[in-house]
Amino acid sequence: MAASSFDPTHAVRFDLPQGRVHAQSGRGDGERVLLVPTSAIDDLALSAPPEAVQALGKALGMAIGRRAAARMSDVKGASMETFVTQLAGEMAISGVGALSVEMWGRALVVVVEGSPLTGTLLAPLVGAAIEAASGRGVACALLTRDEHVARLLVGGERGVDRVREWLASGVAWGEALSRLQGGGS
Amino acid sequence: MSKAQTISRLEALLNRVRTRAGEPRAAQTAAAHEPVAPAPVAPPPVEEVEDLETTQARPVPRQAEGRTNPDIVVEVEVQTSTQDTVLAVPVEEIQVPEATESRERLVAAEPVAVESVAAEPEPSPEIIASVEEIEEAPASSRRPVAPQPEERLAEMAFGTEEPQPARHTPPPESGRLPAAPSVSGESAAEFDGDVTGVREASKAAASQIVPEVAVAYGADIGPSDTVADVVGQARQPASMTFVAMLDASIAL
Repeated sequence: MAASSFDPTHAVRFDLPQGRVHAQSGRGDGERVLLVPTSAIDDLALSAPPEAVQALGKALGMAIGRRAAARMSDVKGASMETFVTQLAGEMAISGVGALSVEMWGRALVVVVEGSPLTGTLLAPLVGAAIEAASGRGVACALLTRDEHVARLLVGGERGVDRVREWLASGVAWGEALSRLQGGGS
Repeated sequence: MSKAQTISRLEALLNRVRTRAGEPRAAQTAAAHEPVAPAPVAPPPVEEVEDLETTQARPVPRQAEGRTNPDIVVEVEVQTSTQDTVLAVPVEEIQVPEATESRERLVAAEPVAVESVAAEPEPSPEIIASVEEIEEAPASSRRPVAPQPEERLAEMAFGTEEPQPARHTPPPESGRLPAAPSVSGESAAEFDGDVTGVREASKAAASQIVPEVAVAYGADIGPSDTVADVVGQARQPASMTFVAMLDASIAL
């Protein structure tokens, strides 16, 4: 099945007389959104408790995932290309960054390039977006993050916790993924 | 020695010089053409003509300066064979020992030198005419090639065995030369002739350089559709849904 391209037409509607901005989800008027400077998000992520930051990230990701799922008629039957295309389109509309997916063996790794968000906010956001779009309960952990690229592991709660422990003990993220699949030392 | 004695001796010496200056040498000095500046130079005794010429032609050496009389300045007029200006170098008055004084030799040597130089044979009119003939050749025409001076002197003295045809340089090439490329603006400032020494002639020579053209040899291979032979079809990856892959990752 050929991957359908992302159609950004009228993805965001600005109601200037009313002073409102709506993110269209394909049906209805969509969800009202707010244009927030990234510096404000960064300040909140640095000052708020981790639970609050995680809750904020999940809320942002759930909204993105719902809009992506609304663009797909059959989420369960959607191919990898179709799912990633629609999800990446909604992430780009939100200004989170450019999303792509890598498969490291059986481990699914989401790559986000050019994101203005910190890792503590980006991990719950990506996990919530995939969970909302796919309908599966997932966990997400940040594997690596540099100036331009962030890599996040998306999987089950148990496997993600193990990877977090390995990363905290100093294991490289590649080695952690290898260990997760039964390999490595 | 008192001052009075010194003055009396100097006056006696001056009288003697005046007396000798008015004697036979007076006639010769009167025939001199040009006045000569004071030259208290006392050349060494000259017995041959070559020595006198070399003495007149070069500046007075330091050793000669040391031989001047500190109290008396003698005016000397010298007539050379070429009627040129006689070199006269003003010399500072320097204290010298009495043993180096040689004024009498100066008076006796000069007439001999002048007569000897005057007796030297002048170049013959034929040689002068031949030299003038060579120098008058125009610059833009064929120029005769003159024989060596030794050969020419031998021909005039002993005659030529057989007349030789006149030897000339090759005629100049005719035709228009390519103009030098015009240099203007910043390029002209970069190649300022006064600074870099680059002249127009070099630009004209550079414009005559013809670049060589490389000869390429290529293979003659025609197109063909039967080269590729595809066997079968590429293997298609198993189509998996995103949810299936996500489940696999969750199961880890």
